[in-house]
Amino acid sequence: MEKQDSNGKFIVPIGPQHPALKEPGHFEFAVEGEIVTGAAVRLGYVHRGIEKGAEARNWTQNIYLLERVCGICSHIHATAYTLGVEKLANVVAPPRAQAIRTLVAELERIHSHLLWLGVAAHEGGFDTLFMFSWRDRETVMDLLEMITGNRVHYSTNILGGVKIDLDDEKITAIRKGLDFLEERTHHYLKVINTDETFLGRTRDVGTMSRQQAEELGAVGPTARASGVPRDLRVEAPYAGYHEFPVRLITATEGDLHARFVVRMNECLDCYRVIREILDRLPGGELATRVPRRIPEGETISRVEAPRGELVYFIKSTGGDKPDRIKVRTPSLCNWGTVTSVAVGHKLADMPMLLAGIDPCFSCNDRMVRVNRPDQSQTWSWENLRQYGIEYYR
Amino acid sequence: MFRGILEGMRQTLRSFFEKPVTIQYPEQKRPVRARFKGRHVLKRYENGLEKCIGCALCAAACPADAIFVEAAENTDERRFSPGERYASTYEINMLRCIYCGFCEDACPTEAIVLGDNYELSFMDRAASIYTKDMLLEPVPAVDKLTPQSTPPGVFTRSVPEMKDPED
Amino acid sequence: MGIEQKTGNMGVVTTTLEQVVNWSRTNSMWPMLFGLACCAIEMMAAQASNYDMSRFGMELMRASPRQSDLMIVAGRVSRKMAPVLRQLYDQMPDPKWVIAMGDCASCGGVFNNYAIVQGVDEIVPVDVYVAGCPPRPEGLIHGIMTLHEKVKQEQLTKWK
Repeated sequence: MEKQDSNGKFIVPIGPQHPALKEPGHFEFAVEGEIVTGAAVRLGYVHRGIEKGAEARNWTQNIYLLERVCGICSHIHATAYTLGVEKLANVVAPPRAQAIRTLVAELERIHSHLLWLGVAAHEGGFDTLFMFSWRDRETVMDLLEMITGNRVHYSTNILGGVKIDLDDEKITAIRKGLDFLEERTHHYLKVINTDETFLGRTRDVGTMSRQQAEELGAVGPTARASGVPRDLRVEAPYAGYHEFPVRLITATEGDLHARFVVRMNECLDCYRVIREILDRLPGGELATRVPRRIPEGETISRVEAPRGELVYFIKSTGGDKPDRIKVRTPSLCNWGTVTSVAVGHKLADMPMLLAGIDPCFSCNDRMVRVNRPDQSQTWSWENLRQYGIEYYR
Repeated sequence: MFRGILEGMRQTLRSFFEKPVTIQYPEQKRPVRARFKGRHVLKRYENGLEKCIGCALCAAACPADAIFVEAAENTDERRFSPGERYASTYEINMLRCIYCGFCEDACPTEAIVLGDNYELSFMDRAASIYTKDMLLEPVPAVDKLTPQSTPPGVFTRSVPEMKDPED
Repeated sequence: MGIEQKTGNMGVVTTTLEQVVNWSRTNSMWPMLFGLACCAIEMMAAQASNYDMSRFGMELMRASPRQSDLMIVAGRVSRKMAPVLRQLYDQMPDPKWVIAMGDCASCGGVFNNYAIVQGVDEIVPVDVYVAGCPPRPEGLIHGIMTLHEKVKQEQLTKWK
């Protein structure tokens, strides 16, 4: 992705290993003095070949593989995949399973937003907020460990339902944790809105008007902060969101400050939804049977990850391994906004701007194949491996 | 301007008097939650026989291909597990395992269970392959060691009678 | 050794140069920020308040390789990233250590395919491997302590 003013400007390369961001990616900013005039992004440093690897494993093993597309939003990837496969198999998971899936998804959203708050504050030099928000995030990690067994990559989904159940003790613990977190979130909102140095760094930085956001195809809280009312949980509800609806939260300024506010308000809404789920948790069984061989068909499964809209395309030819799985992650859409919006800002604002869209590099590296009809080859596993080794020799 | 600085300093001063949340690992180890997925353990029955029957369903289920199982036949004089077969070789590569719990779900006898140990660090890669004797649960008493010699005709079922097969 | 036997524990430390230097090396290792993927989250969590790594002297995560002595490779290394990793390792001054954190850095983990280096020890010499996907922060700290044990055994003649 490039948008560059050419001829002789000074190019500052940042990355792939750099202090500003935690995962590798290569950025090139064309600057004139301190003002940025163009930006280019080069990704692909964490490509793992998951889509190819998914074709070699059967439907159930793929849940665990696809969870590891992203460390922060792992449950929502597994949910999107299982919802898609269940659609293909014409099976609906029981209501208790859907409610538990929604509960874990909302807990994941809270953990992701708190993580992002800490990292974005760290980019802005505000390390105290980093320490505070990650300490509070430990409450959520503790709850998730208690419910699911792992702090990251909680494998709760199975085809047809969930693996874990909630009992009264766990429900009481979740409520207690939520009370604590709600108080802390109000405190963070106060800090974001009143701290002068913080406001100085975030107000009017990276302003994106609503029209720009719609043209560039931004998704998730980045778009909602510019006033675009797009949230898949409200427009196309899936899993438990039919019974437990979510409020659409937008802001109008479109700058970095608005993105902070939108995410914190989303956290507050998550607490409300989780409490509602706990109050009205439906009874029943946890999973239904799904056949080993999924019938033929193609399907698209869309869910709302903490970063935006996540789309899965799943194709089956009737066997016990999928034929093709394509993942389109939200962070990929939001990069385009950075390259346009970065123009005109000072170089020192770049780290916070990049952190403002909540980039998740692991989600990004999908392989796009340019279709040249004359030169088509089918490559086997061994060929690919050999190619990979020799290309980078 | 000053109000902002004072507010920030007030926060900092307040946190001087808060209880620190740091867990002083390694002196203080917080116990993990009940469902935590740590290092695997091969379980035994109360009479000391191993639950693992060497069916290799766990190896087939593993998304990372981390388990290697070879089975052999039980005789009544040297019996390792109820039923006809037992696992003569059982190795798990801890560095390939992703601790997902699928082997636990796939096992028909509830033999392999993900336990609580998370302290897995090795100096070299070969040390990470845990063999059966490292994974087996220790016995409470010496007379329950395997192989045992048992009366014929008693332990003929590999998979125990379960009260609720849907469980 | 002689004084200790004669006077007992007087609170005075008598030791060898080797032990002093090794001890001081373990207590002030500065890690280099090399988080690549999901393991980076747990590494940052180990840095945050609940499992504080600065108790071990690792307060700062230096971004520059020239100012750090421990490289914690946290996450999967793809073939595209491998030359970058080697370059950074070469820029670190001696003595330096490498911890391969997590399954993917140690042996490729679940991704046994064309795009991931099957174990970072193909590129750099690794001292400690920590298993887990991702390892808990306490697991990482256990790995760091294993490294400390290893460093304390280092000998004078083999110092770099």
